Amino acid sequence: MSSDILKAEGIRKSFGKVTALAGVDLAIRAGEFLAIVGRSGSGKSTLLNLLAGLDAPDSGRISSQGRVLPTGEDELADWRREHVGLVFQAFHLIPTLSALENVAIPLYPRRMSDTARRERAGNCLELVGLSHRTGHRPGQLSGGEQQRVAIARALVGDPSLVLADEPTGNLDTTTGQEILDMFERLRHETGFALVVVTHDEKVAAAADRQIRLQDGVEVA
Amino acid sequence: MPRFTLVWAELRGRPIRTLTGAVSLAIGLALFLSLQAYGSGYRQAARAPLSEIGTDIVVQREGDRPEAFEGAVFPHSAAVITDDQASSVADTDGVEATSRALIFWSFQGDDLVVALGMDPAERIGPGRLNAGLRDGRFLRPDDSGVAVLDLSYAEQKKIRTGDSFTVAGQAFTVVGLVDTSRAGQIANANAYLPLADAQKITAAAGISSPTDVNMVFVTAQPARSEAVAREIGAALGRDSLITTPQSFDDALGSTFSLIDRFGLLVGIAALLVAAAGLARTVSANLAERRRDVAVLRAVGWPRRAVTAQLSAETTAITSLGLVLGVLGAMAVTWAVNRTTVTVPVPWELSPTPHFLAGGARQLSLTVPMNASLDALLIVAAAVASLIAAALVSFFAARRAAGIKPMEAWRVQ
Ligand SMILES: Nc1ncnc2c1ncn2[C@@H]1O[C@H](COP(=O)(O)OP(=O)(O)O)[C@@H](O)[C@H]1O
Ligand SMILES: [Mg+2]
Repeated sequence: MSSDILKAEGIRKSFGKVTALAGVDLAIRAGEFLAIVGRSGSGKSTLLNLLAGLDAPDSGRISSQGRVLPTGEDELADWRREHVGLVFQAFHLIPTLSALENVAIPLYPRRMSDTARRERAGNCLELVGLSHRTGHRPGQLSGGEQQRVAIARALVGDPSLVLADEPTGNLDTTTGQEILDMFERLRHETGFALVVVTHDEKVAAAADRQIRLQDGVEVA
Repeated sequence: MPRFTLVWAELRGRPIRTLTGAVSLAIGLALFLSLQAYGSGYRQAARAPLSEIGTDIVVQREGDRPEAFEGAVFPHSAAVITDDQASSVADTDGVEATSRALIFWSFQGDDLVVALGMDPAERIGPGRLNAGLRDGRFLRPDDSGVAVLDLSYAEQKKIRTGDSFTVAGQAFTVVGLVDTSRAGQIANANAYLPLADAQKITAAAGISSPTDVNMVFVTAQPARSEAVAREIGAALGRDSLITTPQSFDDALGSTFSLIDRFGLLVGIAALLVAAAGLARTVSANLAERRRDVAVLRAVGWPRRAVTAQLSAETTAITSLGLVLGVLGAMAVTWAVNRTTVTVPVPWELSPTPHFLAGGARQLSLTVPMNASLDALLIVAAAVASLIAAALVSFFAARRAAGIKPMEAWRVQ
């Protein structure tokens, strides 16, 4: 049981009259690649955000290695920083910062020297094959490169879980495939569990396991 | 702890936003500071005619117009002040020092001499004219029968040091020449005589007693001169004619009174506009940065760290604005100090008969503008803007830091 690095039970979430999640159960095992599939509006992103502790469910519980996630915003932020890497469809890089600074951002709240931080961020950029782009700002990078920076940022804190919401949604097919291949390679190298939210069946097919959502509930 | 490399990256990364914020504060601050500097420079210029002769207040009494222009005559702005009256001026609370003088016109046929009897021992009043000595020597305390002439008058009359010179039938030896063009606009005379000699002449003419004077120069305790002047005026009665720095402020007219009265108001308004501009920049910045704040929160920054970061950015923009504002004010002040101010001197302070050529001409003193920035005001404005900016940005940033990332990203 304790090999489940994240477990969600009976998760419900509504936004006003819209019920986004109507009771979802799910467990993520260490090192696995899980795809959450479903049509647009089925509640995938909502579920991912709850798993990341970016928002709290209306009811149900989410636990990490047997312990319920903390409720305080800052405690959740601490947990996220230590255990979770996030990747989004729209990359969400900070436009005024260089690739290296963007990757280093999650390390700032840690006790760490400037040099160590830069070195760690530089290593992660190397992992995603962007050593030659460290000083570039997001605006100077292609979509695929930006997503690689975002992946490096997700990995910089050495997480046990990476949550990705439509990571290939803004990329062409070839670039999307490159990103997926990179995820797979990195997962094997570093051993994090990967959860990818997607509406693309081809992406889902690459996963070890799939969970299908429809109108906020899991369907077979 | 804010991260200064990140603050710097943010300022540099949005140069338009950074400059708009800083410059809007800078303009307001520069306007505020330079208006104050300009006002104080103008006020100082207005005091130049009095301060050139080391005086705060000139006391005179208004009399009748002379009936005949023959022999020794007092201008109607210089009726006699008795020894008692002069002493009571000196005894007025707040008066630090006084010096007495006697001005009169001496008509000799077609010729007119404006003569001023004075006490050369006094450090205030016409005694200051010795700074303009161009030839010979100045009057000395025990002098009698000697005179010092105004340089341009002497040149016009072709009189030299050592010559004899007649005032109201009395012969004086010219011992020196003074250039009064800079300092001499108040109590401007052709001939400067020992006070006792002048008093003898006017007493002999039957227009005064031997101890009377008609001008008293007063220095008052700092910042009290207007109150002291009012008290002296009240004691001397309705015909008193009191000149104070305020008289010159008034004489400078509309420009000055505008600055004097509205300078502070305009300055404060400018500061408020600057503060509003800065607040707008702060809020626009935070709105623009919602998504970045969401990123920071999503990757695990505590709220406190986000707040500190955003506040540091605003504080940096404010500091930049402060530096630019002070530099701007310095530039304006420097430019203003290349100009001069011409201060009109009221007729009664240097009475010349109106019927003479040039007699009705307005005397004036042109002095360089000497505006200076008030260091205390700079510090106060800097501290106030920093505190205001820190407060505004702290609360705005704290709210912004509470953004839920998913909500910030939904609105795109
Ligand atoms: N913050 C929100 N406020 C209001 N409604 C929301 C919010 N987030 C999601 N929803 C709604 O919840 C439902 C599920 O959305 P989402 O989880 O984004 O679906 P998916 O990612 O599968 O497309 C949708 O109807 C969506 O409009
Ligand atoms: Mg979605």
